[in-house]
Amino acid sequence: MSQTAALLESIIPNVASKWPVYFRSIAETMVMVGISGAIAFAIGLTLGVTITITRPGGVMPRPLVYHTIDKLVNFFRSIPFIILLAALIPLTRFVVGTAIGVKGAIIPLVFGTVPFFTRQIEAALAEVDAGVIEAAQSMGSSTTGIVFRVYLKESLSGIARGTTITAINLIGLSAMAGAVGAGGLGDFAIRYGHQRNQLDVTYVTVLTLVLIVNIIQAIGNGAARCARK
Amino acid sequence: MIVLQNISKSFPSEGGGSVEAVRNVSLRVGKGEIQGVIGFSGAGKSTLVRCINLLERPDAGEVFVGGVELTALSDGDLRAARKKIGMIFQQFNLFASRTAWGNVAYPLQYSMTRADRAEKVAALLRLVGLEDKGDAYPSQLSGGQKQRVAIARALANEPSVLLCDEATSALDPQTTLSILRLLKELNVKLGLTIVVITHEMQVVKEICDRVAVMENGEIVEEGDVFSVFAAPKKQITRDFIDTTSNLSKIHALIAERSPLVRLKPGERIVRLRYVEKNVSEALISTISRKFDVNANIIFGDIEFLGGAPIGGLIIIVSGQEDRIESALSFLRSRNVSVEVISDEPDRRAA
Repeated sequence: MSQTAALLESIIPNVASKWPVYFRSIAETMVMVGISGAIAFAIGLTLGVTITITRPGGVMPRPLVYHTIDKLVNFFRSIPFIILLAALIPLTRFVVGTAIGVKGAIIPLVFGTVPFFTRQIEAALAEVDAGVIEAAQSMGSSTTGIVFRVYLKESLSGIARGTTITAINLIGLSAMAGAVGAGGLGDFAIRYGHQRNQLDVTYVTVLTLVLIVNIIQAIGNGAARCARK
Repeated sequence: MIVLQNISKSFPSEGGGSVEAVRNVSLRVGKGEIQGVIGFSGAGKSTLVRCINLLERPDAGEVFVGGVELTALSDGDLRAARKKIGMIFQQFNLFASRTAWGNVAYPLQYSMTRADRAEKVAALLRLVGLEDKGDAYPSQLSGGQKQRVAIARALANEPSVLLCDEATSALDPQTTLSILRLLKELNVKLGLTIVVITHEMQVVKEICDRVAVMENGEIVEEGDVFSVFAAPKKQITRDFIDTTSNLSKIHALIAERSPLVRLKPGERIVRLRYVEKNVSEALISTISRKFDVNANIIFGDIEFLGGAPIGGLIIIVSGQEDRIESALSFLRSRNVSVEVISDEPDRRAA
């Protein structure tokens, strides 16, 4: 045991000297990704479904709603996240009272993720054959019935894949948010690895992120496989 | 049962104008009838069938099913009415994420208890001959089995009408036949009114009582299948009949100067077609005996529709000029349509 500790201390001295900070960073990243991910999932799913059914030729065409969401999504997707972070500071302060820390990161992360996830959902739902939707309509299904019992059920596998990609994306964004004071692994790497030139901190952070991303990808693949029938 | 009155429907076309898919079509389908609608692709038949359950809302005209004017219903009432109008499709359109059982149970979700539903689904799967395939996903079923599941699903709410949009076009001939037999059986057993959209004459021949021929969005000919087949009025109808009859091959043979159809002087190639239901005489033997002419049968294509022969023969008649004339008029008097296709002797044969 002490041998392992000694070994780690010799390879990654700067990480070994601040294990508590390292683990807290991981926890912060998890919290940021978890909370903003859950919110973005709910909003993105709703918007993705809405944009699918309200499009011209959809099951409930509403051109105004469709074009509004479509343009907003395009608008937010064209803003680089680092700029979005800065631009949203007043809103974040207004909503959660602070623009820094894990709490301050959630709103920009949601804004950065929702447009992307909306498109992922839209793409997944587009995979559902129009003929199947037509069949459901011919059986007298309502719009709600078609959304829940056909669109979402039929595209479960695609939604799982889109969610995986988005979650991995979100981890990347959360590291960036870390750079502007949100805490987490990004903050850890910048603060120690970059600003204090403790390279081993950077490498350990990278390895940690690789591991997290792989775990998420594996879970996502499993879910998509389960859903595909 | 189904009344379409002056239905028109157009779609915006890519050039910016619009395409009239269905023009001022009226059609009545009686209760328990099997109505065929035949046409080449783009004739508007799929649009027309979608106008029956308002998957496509016509721009003009009224749709009545079972005495209810669907075109006047609210969205909610229309959804309720659609439950009584089953529909099946060329591509089956099953829910890939549900088993055969789940597909058939889909329309029953809210209307009955779990136990009743299980019983109903089992009965429906039995009806289409798939009682042992309930657990299979669509990807594990053959085309014919998929269409059977689709039929069971369409019948779940005990509709009075079943719309079939090219339901057999993706199936091989043998499976097509078995699906058509099933439809016919359901028609008899459940008194189901069926509308069959197809581009295959074979389908019409096999199960339809009446047929409407569509071209460019209009119904150009309509009637009971025998009359339409026996005495087609429009060229397009003849084209369809030719697709299932080999009588038209004679033109190809003449064009390629096949030895089969080289005429000696005085010989004629004649097409005989049955146009009435009462043809039961031994006509060919009769003309040979009575008029002393020889009739050489080149092709024959005779089928039975509603118990009466339909189709005809291509023959080469030879004999004395006036004898041939009398033989042909005799045939005409027996309600056989007689058409002299060629009387030009082949120079090489002469």
